[in-house]
Amino acid sequence: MWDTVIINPLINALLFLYQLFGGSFGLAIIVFTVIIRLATYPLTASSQKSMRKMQELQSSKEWKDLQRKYAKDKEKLQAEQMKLLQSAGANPLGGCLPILIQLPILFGLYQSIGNVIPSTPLQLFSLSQRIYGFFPVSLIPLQKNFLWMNLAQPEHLVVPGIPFPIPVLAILVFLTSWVSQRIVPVMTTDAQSGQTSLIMNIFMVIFITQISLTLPSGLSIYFIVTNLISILQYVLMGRVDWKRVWTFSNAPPANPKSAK
Amino acid sequence: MQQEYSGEHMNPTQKSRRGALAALLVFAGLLSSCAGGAPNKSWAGMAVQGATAFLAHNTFISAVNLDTGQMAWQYPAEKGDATVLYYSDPLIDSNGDLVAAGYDGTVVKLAADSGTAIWTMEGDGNPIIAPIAEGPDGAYYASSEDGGLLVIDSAAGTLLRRVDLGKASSWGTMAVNGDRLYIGTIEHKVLAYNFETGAIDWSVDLGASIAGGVNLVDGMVVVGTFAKQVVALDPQNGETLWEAETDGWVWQAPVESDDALFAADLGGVLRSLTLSDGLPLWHIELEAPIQAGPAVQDGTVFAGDSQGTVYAYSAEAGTPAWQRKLEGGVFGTLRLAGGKLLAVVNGGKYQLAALHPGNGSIIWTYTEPS
Repeated sequence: MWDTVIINPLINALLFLYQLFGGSFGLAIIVFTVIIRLATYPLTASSQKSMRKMQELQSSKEWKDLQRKYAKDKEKLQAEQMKLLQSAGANPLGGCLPILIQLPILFGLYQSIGNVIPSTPLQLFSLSQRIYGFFPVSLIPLQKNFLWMNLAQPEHLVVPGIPFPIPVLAILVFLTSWVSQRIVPVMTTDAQSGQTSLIMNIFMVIFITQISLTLPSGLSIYFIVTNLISILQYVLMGRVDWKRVWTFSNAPPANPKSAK
Repeated sequence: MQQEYSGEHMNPTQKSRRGALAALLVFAGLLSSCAGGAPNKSWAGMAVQGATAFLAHNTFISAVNLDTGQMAWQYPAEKGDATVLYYSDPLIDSNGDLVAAGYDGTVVKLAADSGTAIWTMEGDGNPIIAPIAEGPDGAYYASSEDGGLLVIDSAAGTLLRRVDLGKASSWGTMAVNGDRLYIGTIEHKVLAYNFETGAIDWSVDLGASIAGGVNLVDGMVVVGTFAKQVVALDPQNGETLWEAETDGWVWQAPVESDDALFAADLGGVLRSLTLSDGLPLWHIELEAPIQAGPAVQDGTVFAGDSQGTVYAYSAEAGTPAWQRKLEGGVFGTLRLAGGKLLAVVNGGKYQLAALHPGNGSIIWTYTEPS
């Protein structure tokens, strides 16, 4: 079921784009990423709107009044907070929906890249069973090189004079992930929760970077393009605070209204 | 991803987001555990000499006694030394030694009776997927995935020279005939390399991948291609002698017996063709794609499909003799040796099965140590 619904269509979509872009698998992945982000934009925009409402609500007097009123009854507090969120049209899962939606795509893309650029006879056999019949067989084997990269392998750039290879894509994944997470202001009400949030941000960036070091470089390209699109979206929405990129703090602002 | 926390306890927002974050971390962990440099899955390569079958699979090369189905030796002997991945059929050279190529370009020569390493040539990181061939000059020839043909000193295990095949690499058997090495490549080409001059005599582009290598049959170079064809070429100049259409991608090169060629394809069809001009004699639609090359002996043609069924048909008329279901898919090439039909099996409990050619009963199966 997973293969029929997710993997095979992804493989053939990549093949279609590969063919469209003159045999460049790197371009095919980039364009594929843009298409996926465009397709999921309505959901992303809706969840960002919901997230903004939640941020505003959590700084509001009504929220604080609930906390004071039900300080000793956590269950009641949670129930009342949920009612308040729902009445304001905010979805608690709002901020996570874009990530959750992308999870099957990410995993499917990882498997697809491995299948589209087979490195072993068994992978080639697997590909033969997944390609839709209308593709010309002359497409196989795909050209797996893009710029200096072998898209089926983790990327490292060897620079003459430097004794170790440089993981350029992993560095770009790190930078773009960090920027995309930091440029949007977070409205927290206390320093401790802000700090916790920062730690989780850092952990996720490091984790994604670490797996980029070991994944096929085609998937790292997907991460980078996704992050760049996110940054562009935030810029176009006018919701960025570039100063936060250079800080390591999620402390609540002195005047919450000063954050964009 | 933004996280907001307001207060000492978790509100619905926090709970939901922590749950989603946990899911993301599990996914990231799964992805991380799946990641890695070299892929490590394919079916075993096989060679046979006398009463022994040799399997090259994952990080080991094993010798299996054909009479008992028991392992005679394994290389390397210590698991800690097992770092090189092997997939291609090992070569049994003219001295009876075993030569195997690894996924990182390593080539190892072993004494076939004991598995003792005679020499190891370190790889350059480029996979060697095709079986190594032995030239009339005694050197070994290995097709590297970066498009080079490596010429290796068989005594010393050193690289003599590298011939540029022009971004073409073989994934299947290369064939030696007189002064030429015939190479079928995944990049659609069939090449003829001249041992004496060290140059490529001719190269033809067939428009589709040749994954299973080349067979020399009755003065012809015969290949199967992903263009759903069996093609016969003139070994002197590469001109097409005839072409035969099939129902699916043809992986392994056809085999010959009694003026007929037998080919199997990924469309699940086993067919017989006339040797002289490729005209169809008979064909049978089997139940699943057939990647493995057929085998022929004593008027019977054997085939195995990717779902694990082994079939036997009369070579002359294609009438069914027997069929047997194995646990796992049949891949590689079926071989007849020691009175047994040997099938490489992938994706099941065992890696090699020996069947009785007369009735398909399973004599033994071999499971490599974990």
